[in-house]
Amino acid sequence: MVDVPAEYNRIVHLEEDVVAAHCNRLRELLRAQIEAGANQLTLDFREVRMVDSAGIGLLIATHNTMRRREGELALINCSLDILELFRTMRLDQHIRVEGKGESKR
Amino acid sequence: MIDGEDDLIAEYLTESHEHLAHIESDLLAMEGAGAPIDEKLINRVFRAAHSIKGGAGFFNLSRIRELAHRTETVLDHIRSGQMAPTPETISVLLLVFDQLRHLLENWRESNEANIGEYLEALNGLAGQPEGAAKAATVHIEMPVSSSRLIEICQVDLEQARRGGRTIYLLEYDLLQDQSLQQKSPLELMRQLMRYGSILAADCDLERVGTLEEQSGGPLVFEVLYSSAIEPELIQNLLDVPPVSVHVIDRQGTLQPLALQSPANLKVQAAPEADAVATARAASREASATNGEAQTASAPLPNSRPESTIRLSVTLLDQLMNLAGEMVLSRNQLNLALEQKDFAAIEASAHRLNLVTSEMQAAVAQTRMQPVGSLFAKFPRVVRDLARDLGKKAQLEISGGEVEIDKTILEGLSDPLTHMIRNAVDHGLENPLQRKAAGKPEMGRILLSATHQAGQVVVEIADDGRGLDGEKVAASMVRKGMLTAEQVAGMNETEKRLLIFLPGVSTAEKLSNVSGRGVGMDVVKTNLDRLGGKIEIDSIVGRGTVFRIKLPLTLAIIPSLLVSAGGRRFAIPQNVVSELIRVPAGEVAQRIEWTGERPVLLLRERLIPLVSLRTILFGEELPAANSAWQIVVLDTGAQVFGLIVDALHDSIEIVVKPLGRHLKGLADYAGATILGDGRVALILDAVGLAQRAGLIAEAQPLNNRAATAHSESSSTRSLLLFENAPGESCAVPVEQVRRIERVKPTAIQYLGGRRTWQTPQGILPILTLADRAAVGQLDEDQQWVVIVFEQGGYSRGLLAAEPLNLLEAAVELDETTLRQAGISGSFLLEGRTTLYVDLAELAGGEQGLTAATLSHEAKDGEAAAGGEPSEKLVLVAEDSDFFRSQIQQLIESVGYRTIGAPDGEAAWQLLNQHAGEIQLLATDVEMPNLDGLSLTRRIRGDSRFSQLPIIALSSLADEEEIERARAAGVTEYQVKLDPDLLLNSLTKTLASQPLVPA
Repeated sequence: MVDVPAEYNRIVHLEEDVVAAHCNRLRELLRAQIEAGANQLTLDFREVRMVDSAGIGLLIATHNTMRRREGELALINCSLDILELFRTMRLDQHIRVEGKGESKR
Repeated sequence: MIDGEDDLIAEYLTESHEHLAHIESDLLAMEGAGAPIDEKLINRVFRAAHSIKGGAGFFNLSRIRELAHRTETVLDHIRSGQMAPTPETISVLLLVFDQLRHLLENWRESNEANIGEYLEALNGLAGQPEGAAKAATVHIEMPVSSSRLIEICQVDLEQARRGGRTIYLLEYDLLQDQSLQQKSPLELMRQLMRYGSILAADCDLERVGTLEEQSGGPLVFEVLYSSAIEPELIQNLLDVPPVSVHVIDRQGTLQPLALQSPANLKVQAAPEADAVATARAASREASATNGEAQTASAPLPNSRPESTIRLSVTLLDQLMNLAGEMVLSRNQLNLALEQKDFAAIEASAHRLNLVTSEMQAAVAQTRMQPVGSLFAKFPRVVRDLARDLGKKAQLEISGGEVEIDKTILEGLSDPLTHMIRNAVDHGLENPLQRKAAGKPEMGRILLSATHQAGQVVVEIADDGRGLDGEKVAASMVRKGMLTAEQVAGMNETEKRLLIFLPGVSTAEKLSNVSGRGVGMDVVKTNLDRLGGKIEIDSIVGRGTVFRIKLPLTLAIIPSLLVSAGGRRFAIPQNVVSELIRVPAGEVAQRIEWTGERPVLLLRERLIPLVSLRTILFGEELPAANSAWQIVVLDTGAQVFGLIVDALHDSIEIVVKPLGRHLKGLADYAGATILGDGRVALILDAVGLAQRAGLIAEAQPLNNRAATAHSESSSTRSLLLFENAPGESCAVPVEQVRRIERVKPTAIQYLGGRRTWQTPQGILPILTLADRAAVGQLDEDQQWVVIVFEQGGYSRGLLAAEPLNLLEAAVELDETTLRQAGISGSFLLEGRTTLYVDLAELAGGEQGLTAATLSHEAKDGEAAAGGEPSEKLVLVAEDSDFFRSQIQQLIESVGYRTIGAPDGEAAWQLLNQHAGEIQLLATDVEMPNLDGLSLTRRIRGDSRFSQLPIIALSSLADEEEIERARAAGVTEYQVKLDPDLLLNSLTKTLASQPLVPA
């Protein structure tokens, strides 16, 4: 589930939807990544088809945790639906989101 | 501020509002007229600004005075020609006048208002002609955490308010809200976008907490939202109700919205958050820095009904007189009661009765308002929206003087706004598409109101892409909302009406189909509440007509009481045409039978009879040895007799709407409470007729031959008839209103048109041979008139017996025998049968579609078809069939035509009739000299350089159109669209002098 290409920039490849049922597991996973010292956390959303309210909450909490450590959270390879969701909610003003195939900043 | 001058101020305000009432239309007219300034218009606008300034100076309303003064300066520049009324300038002026109106409404606080940006915008205009309103931002404080702000550009906010939309601040708690467990946040967002637009949004990130905090805080999501939905409805309309809703007023302050259904709200976090929100909002209002004094129950913006009404003094005097009469009658009654003089009691009760009725009528009269006051806001709605969408649209309004009850008028505002916006947004194509379809770039929307049979009919017609019922139905099936079987049983009209189903608006892909349907369920709900009915007529590619039928008043209607099966029912008097009692002894003679249905012979007309007991309770008809009580009902579309048990009084009833669960019943129009306290249902004549299956059988028909495969989904119910002897034709039964036998001598020629005198009036009569190359009826045949409705008007098609009704699987061959009025042919029991397209048949006649209707109004003399016009049209076309079609079509609107079979012949005719021919309609591909070469030759000759040329071609590709334009044609049309051709023909010819110089 995890591959770690660089010490401080961790890319986490999520293999399931970010929904309430998976939130506890994901929370532990993300916390472990951050505690391991990541100050740039990138979540690969290639396999993620859906994000529900609990999922949004989790992502914001992750963002808040990263901010406290002066780090940054980014989501990449998001599906069109998920992009639409983040853009409509204007969450893209806080969390960097990129669609599939978009070049990284 | 001034004291004791309230009366004077009130007068000034009233006068200012009167000035402002027409300002929008005047400004828009200025914009439309462009460079050469219409002095009258600009003077009127100038006068408005000037008189507002004058009064404001007198009352020391400094801000109003200053704003009006600067406006005056800009208007002066426009008047002197220093500045052009560009769309940008007009936009600023519109905004400024909006602000003036707002300041006048809140004149007490106006001196504290900030008008800086408006002044800046005006200065920008006066200083540099291209200047536009400078962007200013508004900060909207969040109700929950006041430290956060949503920032939005003032101009955006004003834009979002256009067209009567309200700005809301919606607040959601995405984590605690139970209903979000069924709906994903994305669905929530999409729903929001469907009913309005999201101007800005923000999440309170801090309150969510971090990963370390096991149970994070609430996920508060706030949306600045603009929507046409009224504040009263918004809570109930959204599937996921927000925790709180605030309305943003023009100062950018929040007005808490009283929650309609607390039951919808989620219990856990809501009460606290809501209480906080309300308290904060309240405290902020109290300490409002701009010094705005809060009136306790400030009405919500945009939903504010007018609180005052203008009355004619005559009417007021009449009311006063009646009130006097009433007092007198009461005194008489009191006296009579004291003296126990029964004769006097009776007399004064009678008098009181009379006075009450008159009083009621007079009071009802005071509530009647011209619809023009509502229509007046739409030119701006259309203009603004068309600009936003990059379309060209023009709104034409007629019937503004038609009066309707104030309540209905107010309730009509929102649905009508929505429908007008829809017409611009989804009905009209963009200029490129229109050009490609051979239409003028400027789309037209016609908004009209008329009185029809005790109802007010409001029509919104556009000449856009039309609404394809098939596609709507298909998309419903695709989405699983309807089954293919359900759809197969629907006719085109029913399919179009599907757009009013609430589910349709959930379809993301609908915009690819037709785009209509966004929020149309809301329109329907609103209209239902007003007792209105809505119909849609549409021809794909040509346009759509939405027709709203509204009662004049909601309150009180005269009705006839009848009874059946021991229950009493009310029938609105306006559909009752007569009452007939057939005595027991005469039933056998006067009632005839056609198949299962009894008919009554009444003054040489056969009237189908329906028993109320049969319809409602499924009982048998009354016995032939008892007297029959018959109420003859006329719905406008059909006449039929309703058999009831007994007839009672004619009384005035107060209409109460039926409960939600009974609302779908077509048989009833409502309920009322009778004098004895019992409830009587009000019958709906149209619904009853439909229920009884009366639509197509008013005359004896040959026995229904139902074929074996009637259940198959591709079968159609057809009415078969003959045109010329042996020429077998069919029309779909559902389009037929009724059929009546006529004698050839009964068909008359009036005003150049075939007509038939019916008891309801004169019915225009068409024949198939008018449009199609078919035979003529023979006098030896038994003639019938097939009555149908098209575009809201009745028309008759002349046909001949034998008639037959059957269900048949139709495999239509749409090529071999396809021509105008005939959509194709099919084989029926070995015979080729023509499938008649009634809409197309009638469409060729002028005055049927909205587009032609409106130009008919303008070019009354040309289109009336009375006196043959002096104007001569040359038709060049090598196909004899098409040439005669086009010539007939043009002659049908009163012009003379001459025909030429090729370009060379046309050129010769043009030379022979130089100075007489006013227009050339030419085919493109022709032998000898083709249409484009002909055009070039014409353009090369100074005598004809101004001659309007309409090219008619079967080719529709861009390249071809471009080539034609280069050659010099005025207009390019794909043949043959009769409406389009007539439309541009009459438009071109009306603007032409009789003989070109």
